Amino acid sequence: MLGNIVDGIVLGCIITLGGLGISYVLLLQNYFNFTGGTYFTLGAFIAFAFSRIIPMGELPFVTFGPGLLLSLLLSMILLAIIMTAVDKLLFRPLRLRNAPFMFFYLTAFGMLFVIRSIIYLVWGAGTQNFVSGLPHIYRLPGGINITADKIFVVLATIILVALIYYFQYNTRLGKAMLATADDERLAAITGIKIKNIHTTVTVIAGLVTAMGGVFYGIAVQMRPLMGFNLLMAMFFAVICGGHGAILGTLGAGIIIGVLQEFGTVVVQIGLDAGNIPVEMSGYKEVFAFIFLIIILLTKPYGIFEGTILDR
Amino acid sequence: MAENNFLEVDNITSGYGMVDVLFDVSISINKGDFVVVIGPNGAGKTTLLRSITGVIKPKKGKVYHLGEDVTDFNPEEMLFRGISYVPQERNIFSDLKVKDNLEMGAYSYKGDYEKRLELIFNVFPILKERLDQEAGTLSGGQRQMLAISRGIMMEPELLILDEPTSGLQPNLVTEVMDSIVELQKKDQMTILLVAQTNQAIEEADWGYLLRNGELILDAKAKELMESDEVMDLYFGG
Repeated sequence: MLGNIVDGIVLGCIITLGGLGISYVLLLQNYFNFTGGTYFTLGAFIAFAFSRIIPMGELPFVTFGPGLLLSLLLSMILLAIIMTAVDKLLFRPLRLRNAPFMFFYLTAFGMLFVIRSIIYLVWGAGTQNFVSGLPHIYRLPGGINITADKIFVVLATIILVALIYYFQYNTRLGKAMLATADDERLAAITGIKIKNIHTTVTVIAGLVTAMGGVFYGIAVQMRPLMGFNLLMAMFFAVICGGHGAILGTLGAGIIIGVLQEFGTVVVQIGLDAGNIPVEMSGYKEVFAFIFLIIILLTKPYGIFEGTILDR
Repeated sequence: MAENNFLEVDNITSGYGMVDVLFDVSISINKGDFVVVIGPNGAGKTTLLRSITGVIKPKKGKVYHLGEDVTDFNPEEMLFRGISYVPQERNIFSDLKVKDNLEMGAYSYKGDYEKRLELIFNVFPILKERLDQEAGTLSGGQRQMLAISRGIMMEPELLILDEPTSGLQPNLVTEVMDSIVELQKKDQMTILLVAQTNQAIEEADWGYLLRNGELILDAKAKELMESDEVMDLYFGG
């Protein structure tokens, strides 16, 4: 059971990274980016492509080597470029024309299918793994089994979130992003280059989204629909964590991850005891949905409203 | 253009969508002047300021700054020319702290940031005490002080203020107006102010009266104050 909580935390970290990508677009451009999940998948598959041509090498404890870290870095850069290009080609014209938000949603939805088709076309419908060997499992007290790869995912996520948080609240550019999110017209009058802010936001979204995708590939495996299947959980982390809250998204992401992993097992035990032939692993998102509804009814501005995590 | 034609608004017609709000309005501002624009609600005062600062594009007419046609400039370009605009509403970043608002005001400022802060804290000492407070939680007067401060962080040559004393208590109106006058003297700014207060008109060098989107009168501010048109508008004749 404790092992499921740990798995939930790992999943929560991955949800957080995807969620942060969506959160940034929502904060500055005011629409839920439906393509976020598919970009997440694309980031993983781009890294996969690089990992096939870059010698993997070895690192202590983890199953992957520096080659994968380099692939991750290249994937982050490439996805940031792709997302920026899509933003400039498709979404910027909509912003300049003050298009209704339905146009943004429809465009994002269209891009989702375009990118998903590209993924199927290039990498096929099967699953892929970054490494073929079995990871070393650490057996911890309380029946917790965890791999060094998963520990790496959690630590790297926490470090990245800390860096983003620092950037957001302690740098001039980060504050300019917050100012633009607060009031774009006033930001323009104040001399903040709005075009640059939108580019920065898209680049950050690309970097974290690719990282999330690659981490999912490391901790679980790569599937063409992996990002799409996590999309709702990412949206919920953004909503429950509070609008634009970086730490809130991490907190909500972890809660949702744990609820999905732990809740599934608890309910499965109950179903098995009652001889009810339902396989709960296919309904993990239900727990995230229930959590979202409870939060929307009780704390519509996010679970961490008024706390230090509401940032 | 000559030095005394610091800013020239030449016959602009402006509005929103299909609706025109301002009709063939011309005004002229000399460097170092304190100019006030008055008029009843709906006269087009805010539209005039927005048209000058590039927030909206005039449908007709031109805006010249130091002789150069700046009609199609955006607010950011106008700011880099030294023209700073403080709107009447939504003029601070409510979610940011006071110090971050000031920092954003100087986002593209190349001069001595600390010196600007010093000037602001001299004029608005209360802001120094509230640096770590979220701007949205400030009182009405403090918000206006912060908005003005944000507007002058870039050391503008021309500060355009849209009703900075609107909705304030009478004692705060005096305090804010005194501060604007003090800032003008200390920073040697030109000021274009939309206001409805006697004090603003008394402090101004020149005044314009707008009504229904048309320029009714322009005169020395004190003459404007005593004109029949102003008496008629504000005191019912």
